[in-house]
Amino acid sequence: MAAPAMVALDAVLGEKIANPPMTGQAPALISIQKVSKTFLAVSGARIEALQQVSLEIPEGKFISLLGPSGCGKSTLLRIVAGLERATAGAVRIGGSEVTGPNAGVGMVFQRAVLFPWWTVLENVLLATRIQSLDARLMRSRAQELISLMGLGGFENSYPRELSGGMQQRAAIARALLHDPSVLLMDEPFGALDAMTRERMDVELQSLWEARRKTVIFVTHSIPEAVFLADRVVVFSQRPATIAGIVDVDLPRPRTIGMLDSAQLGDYTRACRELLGSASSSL
Amino acid sequence: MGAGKTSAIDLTATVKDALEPPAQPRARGALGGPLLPALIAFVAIVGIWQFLVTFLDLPTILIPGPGAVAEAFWHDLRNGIYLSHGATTLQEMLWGFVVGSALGVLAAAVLSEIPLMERMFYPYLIALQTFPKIAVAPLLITWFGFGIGPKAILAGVLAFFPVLINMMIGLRAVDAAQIELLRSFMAGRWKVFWLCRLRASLPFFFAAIETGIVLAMLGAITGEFVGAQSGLGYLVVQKNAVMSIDGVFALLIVLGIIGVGLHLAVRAIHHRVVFWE
Repeated sequence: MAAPAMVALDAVLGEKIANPPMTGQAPALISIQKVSKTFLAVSGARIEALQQVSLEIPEGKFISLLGPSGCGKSTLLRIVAGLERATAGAVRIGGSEVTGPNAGVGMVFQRAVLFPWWTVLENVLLATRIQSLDARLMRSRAQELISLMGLGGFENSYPRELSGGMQQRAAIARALLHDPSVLLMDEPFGALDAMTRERMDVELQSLWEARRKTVIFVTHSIPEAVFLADRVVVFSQRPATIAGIVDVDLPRPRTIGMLDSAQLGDYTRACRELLGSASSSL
Repeated sequence: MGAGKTSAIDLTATVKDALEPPAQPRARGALGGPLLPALIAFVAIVGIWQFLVTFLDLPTILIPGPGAVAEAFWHDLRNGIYLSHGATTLQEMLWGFVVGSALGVLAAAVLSEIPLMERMFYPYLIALQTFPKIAVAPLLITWFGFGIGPKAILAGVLAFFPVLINMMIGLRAVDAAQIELLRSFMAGRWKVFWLCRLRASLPFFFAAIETGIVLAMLGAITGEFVGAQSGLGYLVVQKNAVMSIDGVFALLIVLGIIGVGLHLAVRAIHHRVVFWE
């Protein structure tokens, strides 16, 4: 996104938060302590999805959770979201323990899941139907978010009239309406074609530039994980533990050209090695 | 973005084409339009009917020809008995249908949201569904007399069950992703019901309604067979008794027209309300 657009983002989303220190001195907003999760299969067998995962996530950082499908990273995200309970261990957001869904958290799923009986605007305003929010304020905020996500003019369209990418943009706008401090994203671009996906990555990252929320982004795409994040947490195959952490020191704002850069290639190689060693130890 | 939007709409159009019969036949010289083939079939059937009656020398008192039926139809239409008796039948049917469906929806909501209720009542409801409910028509007449009441009750009872069963399936059939999304926004169980389950179950509701309205009519008519002082079913019995078979045929046509009319009305409301399907 060009500089003028960035200025517009500032005006809409408020003041830009000063760049947080990259060395991780910022206080941990999200604290994951020895979280384990065991599922019971239909046959009665115990499936260990997560094994004693511990992670500290500082405020205002973009963290990617990277790992093969089914390795438990989505489960961890859902535990942080309060949609599932850990079998052991605890998650704390801002000091208080997560026991259920939280108003300070916004979530975007792999499928946009817009309700077909509502327009885009009504879908984005979902939070107002559930939480007690100022309706008029929220309405103008929703309009701003819709324009911001490039959906201007589609406020009164129905989800079936939108492409997959557009639906996900609406879902992101919806997740941001109640101004959460934490944004959890579970492979949100996984269902999109590769080119749309790259475009969405670039747009997401410039969106985040303007208002640095704490983001946890789950993906199984190595380039995507590196491109978006300050830090990539690489997971091993089930039972999931953390195979390693790669701090990404690429300059921001990140552009699409960086996807082909040697620097990014170094980071993806590092992640790939961690993934490879994790799976070969099975 | 524009290209993406076009592809979404094209996909819908492709799926629709696959599911609906083509309105325009492609061969040159083929019969065109959706109505013409059906019209031709109608004429053919009436022609065959007349042919059978005339050339097989069927007793016209038992099997009247199309001409006699048309005459009886026109005669009864003009002296207004279709209107007056039809009003009675429609009243019974609509009252029963509306109350029966409403109760069906309510019961489905309670049973699917409160597991204890479901465990208590569901087995009996399944048993009652298979039980031939028209068998209670004479009992209802004995209890409530010859008026509109018992017919409406029967109509309602017949409409209740398909609505209940379909709504329970519909309330359960909600996309789990939608429920989880609502939970992530901190929606409680009743918010989930109101915002999501109810609306997602509307297609099932209308499917149930389309069955229910036909059954309600069946209930009203059958109740009139058993004991009544007015109504289209009552007329059928009357005309049958005096061997006015052409009048009976005419009445069957009237009932057919009413049935089709109701079905089309419900379909139209369906497409209006569930506009997103």
